[in-house]
Amino acid sequence: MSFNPLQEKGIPLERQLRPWSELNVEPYRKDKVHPYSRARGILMNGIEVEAVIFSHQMARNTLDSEVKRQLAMIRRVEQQQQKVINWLIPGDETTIEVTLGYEQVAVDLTAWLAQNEPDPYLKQVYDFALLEDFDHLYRYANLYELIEGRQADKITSDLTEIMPGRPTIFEHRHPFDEIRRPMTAVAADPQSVLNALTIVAGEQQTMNFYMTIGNRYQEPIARATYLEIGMIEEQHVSHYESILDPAASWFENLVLHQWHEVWMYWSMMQDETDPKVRAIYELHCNMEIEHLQVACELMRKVEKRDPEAILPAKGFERALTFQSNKAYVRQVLESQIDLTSQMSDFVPVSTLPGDDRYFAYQAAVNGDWVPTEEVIRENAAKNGQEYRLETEGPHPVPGLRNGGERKGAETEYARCSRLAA
Amino acid sequence: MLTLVAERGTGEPISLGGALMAGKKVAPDATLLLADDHRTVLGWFDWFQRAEDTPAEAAIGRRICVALLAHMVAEEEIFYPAAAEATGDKALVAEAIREHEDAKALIADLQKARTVGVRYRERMRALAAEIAHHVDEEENRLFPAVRDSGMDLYHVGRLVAARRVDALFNMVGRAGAARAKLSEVAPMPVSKDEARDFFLLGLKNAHAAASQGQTMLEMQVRRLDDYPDVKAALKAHVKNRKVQLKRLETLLDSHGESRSALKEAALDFAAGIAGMANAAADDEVLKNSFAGVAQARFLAAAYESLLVLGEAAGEVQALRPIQQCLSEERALATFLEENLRGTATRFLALRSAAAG
Ligand SMILES: [Fe+2]
Ligand SMILES: [Fe+2]
Ligand SMILES: [Fe+2]
Ligand SMILES: [Fe+2]
Ligand SMILES: [Fe+2]
Ligand SMILES: [Fe+2]
Repeated sequence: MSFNPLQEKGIPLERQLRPWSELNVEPYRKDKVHPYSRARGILMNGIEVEAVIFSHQMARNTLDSEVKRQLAMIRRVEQQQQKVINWLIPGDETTIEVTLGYEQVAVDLTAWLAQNEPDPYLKQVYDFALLEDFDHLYRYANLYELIEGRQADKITSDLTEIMPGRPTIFEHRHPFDEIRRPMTAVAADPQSVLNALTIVAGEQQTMNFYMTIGNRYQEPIARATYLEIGMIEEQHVSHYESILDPAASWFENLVLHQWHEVWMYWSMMQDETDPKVRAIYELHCNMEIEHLQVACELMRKVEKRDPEAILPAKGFERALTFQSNKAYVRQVLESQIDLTSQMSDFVPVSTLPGDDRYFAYQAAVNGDWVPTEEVIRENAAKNGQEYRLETEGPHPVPGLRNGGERKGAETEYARCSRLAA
Repeated sequence: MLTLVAERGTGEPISLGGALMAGKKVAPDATLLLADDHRTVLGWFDWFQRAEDTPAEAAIGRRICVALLAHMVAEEEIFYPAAAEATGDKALVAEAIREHEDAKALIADLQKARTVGVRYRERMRALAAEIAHHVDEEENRLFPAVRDSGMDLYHVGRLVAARRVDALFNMVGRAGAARAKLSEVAPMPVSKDEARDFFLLGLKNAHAAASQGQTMLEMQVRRLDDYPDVKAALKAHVKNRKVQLKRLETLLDSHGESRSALKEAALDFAAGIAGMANAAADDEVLKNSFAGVAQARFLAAAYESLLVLGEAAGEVQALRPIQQCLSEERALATFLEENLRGTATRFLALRSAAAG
C-alpha cells in the first residue's frame, strides 16, 4: 500500500468550486455515527483550518501579487472543504458532546503518532502531552454528567478509557518550559514531518474551539472548565509548533502543507465506513493533489528549487488510522505520569527545586480555586461518585485511583506540590 | 556604491532584504512589484485631486514624492541595469532615466514648497501627467521586453524590494523606538568589491573553523560512550558539519578559490578554542563540552556576519545555504548548553561510582 501524489492527476483548480447546495451537506446522525468517524471529521476540520490560516499568513509575507492571487484561489477551495467537513456535525450534538469528540481525537490521534514516530525525542514529545489531553477527556466527561446528566461513553463508546491522566491542575507550566527542540525538515524522517503537521493543526483547532465556545454556557463551572483547559491547549500549540523546522521557507511550508493534506485525506479514505463521507474524502484528496502540484510549480518558479528534493520519492507508505489504544495509554500513564518539562527536556517533577519557576507559575494561576478539580468534586457530590470508564481494570497509577481504592497512595506531583506550598 | 540593508536589524531574519534572500519572505516578480507601485501612486494622484483641504493635500503630496523617489532609486540602481543587460536595449532604459530626471525636478520643487497653493497644484498636475506617460512606456514597452528576455524576475524582484524599503527607510525613518537612534546614523555607503573581499575571506575562515571543529567533534564522539544523549546529538552534527563544509566549498569554488589554500588556512587557524578540548585531562568530558559550545557559537557568529557581508557583496545565492549553516550551529549550541548540567551531574556520578 503506497501512494505517490506527485504521480497522480488531480482536479483542475477552476473545477474545484462547488455551489452552496453541495457544500451544505447532510449532517451525520448523532445516535448512529461511529466515534472514529466523528473523530476523522473533527481532525480534518482542524487540518483545513490550518490550511486556511497558513495561507493567510503566507499571503501577508508575500510581496508578489500573482502569488497572492494563486494563494487566494487555493484558499477559497480550502474554505469550501472546511465548510463541508465541519458541517457534517449535526446541530443537535451539544457543545460538550463535540468537546468529548475533540478530546477523544486528541487521545487516540496522539497515541497513534507516538507509536509511529521514528525520532525518540519526538516520541517523548507526543507521550508527554498525550497524558494531558487524556485527563481533559475525564474532566469534560464529568462536566457532561454534571450539567447534561448523560454519560460520556454515549459519545465515545468504550474505545477510549476515561479516567485521570496527568491532572490538569498540574499541567500549568511556565511558558519558557513549553518550547521544544526543532527538527530539521531535510534531515528528519518524512513521517516525523507528517506527524508534526497533523498534531499542530489538531491542537490549534482545539485551542480555537475552546477559546470561542467556552463562554456559551450559563453554568459558572462549565465556563471555568473551558477556560482552564483552553489555556492548556495554548501550551500544547506552543509545545508542538516548536518542533517544526523554523528554517523552512514559505514555499517549502506551502508544499509540505499540501503534501500533508493529501496524506490526511488518503488516510481517512482507507477507514471511513460511511459511504457519503468516504466519497467526500476521496473528492478532497483529488483536489489536494492539484493543490500540491500548483504549490510545487510556484516553488520552482519563484525559489528556483526543486520540490522533489524535499519530498520523499517513495510517496506515502502508511496511513494514519484511528484505533483503540488502551494498552498503550496505560503503559504511558504508568511510566510517565510524574514528568514535567524544563526548557526542552522532560524530567521527573521530583527533581525540581522548591523555588523552581514551575511552582511560582502554579501558585500564580491556581490560586485557591481550580475549576478542573471543582468539576470532579461537584459531580461526585451530585451523582454519588465521579464518572470514570475503566474497562481494563483499576487505574495503573495507584495515586490516581478512586477514593477508597487509593489506600493512601499519592503521585509525586501531589507530594511535591504539598511540599512547595 | 550600494547602501546596505543588513545592518538595520538583529537576529533572524536580519532585514527585509535578508529575509527575502533567506526565503523567509516570498519574493515578488520585479515587473509586478513595480507595476503595483505605479497603480498605487496613480491612485494617489486622484486622491490628491479630491482632497478636501490643504493639510490633506500637503500630506498626500508628501506621500507621492517619497514613494516616487524610492521607486526610482530601486529602478535606477537595480532594475534598469538588469533590464539593459537582459534585453540589450540600452536606448529604452536611457529614455526612462531621462524621464526620471524630469520627474525629479518637479518633485524637488514640490518638496521645497512651503504652502499648498495654485503653483503647487499646477506642479502636481504636471507630475501626474509626466508619471502617467512614463508608466505607460514602462508597462507597455520595457516590461514586456524584460519578460521576453528571460531575465530572472524573482531574483531581481528580491533586490528591488529590498532596495526600495531601504530607500524609504532612509527618507522617512521607521516609527517607534528605533527611529531616534537610527535617524542620527547617516546611511552607510558600502562598496560591493570591498564587501566581496571580506566575504571571501570570511568564507575561508569559516571553512577553517568548521573543519577544525569537525576533527574535534569526531574525537569527542568516540569518547562519549557514557553520555548517550550528547553522543547522539554530536554524531548527528558531524553530518551537518560535513554538509556545511560542502556548502562553503561550493561557494568558494564558484569564485575560483583553490582548495589547497584552504588547507593552509586551516592549519593557520588559531586553535584557541580547540585547545580547550584537552584529551588527556581528568575532566576531559567537561572541558570538551565547554569547547563544543564555544565552537558552535563561534561558527554561528561567523555565519551571521557572512550573511551581512554576502548581502553587501550582492551574493544572493549564497545567503540561503549560509542561513542554513547558521540555524544548525545555533541549534547545536542551544542543545549543548541545555545539557551542560546533565553532563556535569553524570560526570560526578560516574566518578563517584568509580571511586566508591
Ligand atoms: Fe484542503
Ligand atoms: Fe485537550
Ligand atoms: Fe491538547
Ligand atoms: Fe489544500
Ligand atoms: Fe516605474
Ligand atoms: Fe521608472
